[in-house]
Amino acid sequence: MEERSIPSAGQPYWQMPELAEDDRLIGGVAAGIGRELGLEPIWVRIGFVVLFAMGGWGALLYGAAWALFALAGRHSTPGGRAAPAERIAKGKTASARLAGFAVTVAGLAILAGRIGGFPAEVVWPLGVLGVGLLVAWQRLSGDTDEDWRSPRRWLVVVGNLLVATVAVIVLLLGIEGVADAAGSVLLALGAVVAMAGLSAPWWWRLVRERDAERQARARSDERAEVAAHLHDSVLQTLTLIQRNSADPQAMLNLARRQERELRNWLDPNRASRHGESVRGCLDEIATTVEELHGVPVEVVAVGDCLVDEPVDALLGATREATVNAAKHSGAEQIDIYLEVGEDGIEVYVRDTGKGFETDVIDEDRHGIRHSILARMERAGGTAVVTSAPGEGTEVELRLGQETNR
Amino acid sequence: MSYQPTVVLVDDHDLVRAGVRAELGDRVRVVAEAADVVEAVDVIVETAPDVVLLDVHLPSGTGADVIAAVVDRGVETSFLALSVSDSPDDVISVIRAGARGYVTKAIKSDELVASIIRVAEGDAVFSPRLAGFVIDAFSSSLSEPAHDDVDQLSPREKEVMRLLARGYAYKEIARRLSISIKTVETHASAVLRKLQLSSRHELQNWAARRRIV
Repeated sequence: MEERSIPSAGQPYWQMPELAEDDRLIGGVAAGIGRELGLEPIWVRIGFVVLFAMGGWGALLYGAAWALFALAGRHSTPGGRAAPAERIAKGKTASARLAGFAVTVAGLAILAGRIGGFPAEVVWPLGVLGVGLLVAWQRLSGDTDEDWRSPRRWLVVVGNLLVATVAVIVLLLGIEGVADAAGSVLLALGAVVAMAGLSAPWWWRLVRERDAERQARARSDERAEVAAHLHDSVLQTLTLIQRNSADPQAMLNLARRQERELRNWLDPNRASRHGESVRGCLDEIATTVEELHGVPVEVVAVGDCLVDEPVDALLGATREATVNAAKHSGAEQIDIYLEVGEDGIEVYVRDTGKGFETDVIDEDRHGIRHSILARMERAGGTAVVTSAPGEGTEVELRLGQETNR
Repeated sequence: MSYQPTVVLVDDHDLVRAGVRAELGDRVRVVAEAADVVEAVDVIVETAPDVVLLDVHLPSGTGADVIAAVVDRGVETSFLALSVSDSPDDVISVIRAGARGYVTKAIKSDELVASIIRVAEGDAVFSPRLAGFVIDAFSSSLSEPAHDDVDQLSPREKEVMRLLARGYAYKEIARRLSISIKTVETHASAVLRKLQLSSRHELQNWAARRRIV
């Protein structure tokens, strides 16, 4: 092994090893010891395996070291780890430290051999099972920053599941009497239970994370869209309202326009109508009249159709009638009703304002009525104005079937 | 004013409730308010008001949910939907759940009080917009002939609806058609019943059809 690949020993004196979370296979004990010793973790791991082979002591030592290191790590401050009361110098070279470690392991192995271990048929399956469980669960919980879909991780999880299953089978085989009678059934059952027990949390997590991720993405897309829209529209309007706060009429108009815009945005059906359909054009007429004259205009529409030349004339007449009502009637609101039916298009513009005598018409009124009537006639339709003083006014515009495509 | 109906306000915005309450003044008796579905159902069951002014969108549910739950508990009351929403789905769903009418929040206070009294007396209230939806839904041009009489409007009912959509009040409709206000109300109630009972495709899948148009 090349010299440079061997980690340096760090501090020249012994300290309590830390659990090496970033380089672990199981709990990071071996890697932690290796780091403190200045050894490749693999040697430490081999040491634990050797000791494990000697009647299972390796597992016991590993568990004890894990608990000790974890406990010590929790009480230590960064850069201030627990050290022996007397400072003990480390071996100067990597090979010296490795030799020391090997001798220590050999001594422990001989000691274990003398004392005697736990029965092999229990130690092995339990050991393997334990390691499998530990690794599986470690990988499943906690570290979310590691991508759980990476191939390496899949490999680790699946490998551990297999190992654990084999371990259960071996354990069951080891129990006397199982092998003959109900053995096979119990074996299968054991394997299934092991698989299920191990994989259940993993599947659960997998599903949960995928859902969470999908939802989060949808949410953030939506949020971005809403934010962009609010910035363009509502914030702009609020700024304008602040500037125009001395003028109540301007504020009212701004608020109405913003309301319309928001409604269009909330109802995509409406937005798509704009510009190309009668309904969209009526909405636009309503908006402009509201803005110019400050009278609310309510549009109720049944049916829809595309705008062609006669319909354009109808819309022109509608605009005249609406402007007329806004300017002269004094009504608080103007109602427009559009109905596109099989036998034609009808538009009603109605106000509940002061009204007028239809046979006493001043020049201005005459002009407007004339332009409404003339327009409708040119387009092949009709216009009727109904009004009386104090009764409000209604303009009825109609395009017949022959002009309705 | 002699008759003072009791009213419960259901709306999740405090400001709206306060505003409506102020507008109504002492012409009706507001006995309780609620801000969400559960609270609304409890309060309505407890106070059994003449009229519930109901917002269509609530946190944790819709106005239709409130109506269904209250009907379930066997409480007799009338619902008037009051909402800023003018999407046909919202309006039709709350009417089909059993509301006696639908008005928008832009309604003037006199008209709102008149609507509450009308609903309290068991009549129907149609805003121009709702009348427009009704005509649209029952218009025969786009669908197969109706089999059942609740699936279509009579010529007179359609006439009344069209005048409502044009912005006419009941009184004005009565004068224009030379019938009594009571007859106009009867027509309106009949339309409401059809709206609630009809099995027309348009009413059941309103949203879907709107997307085709």
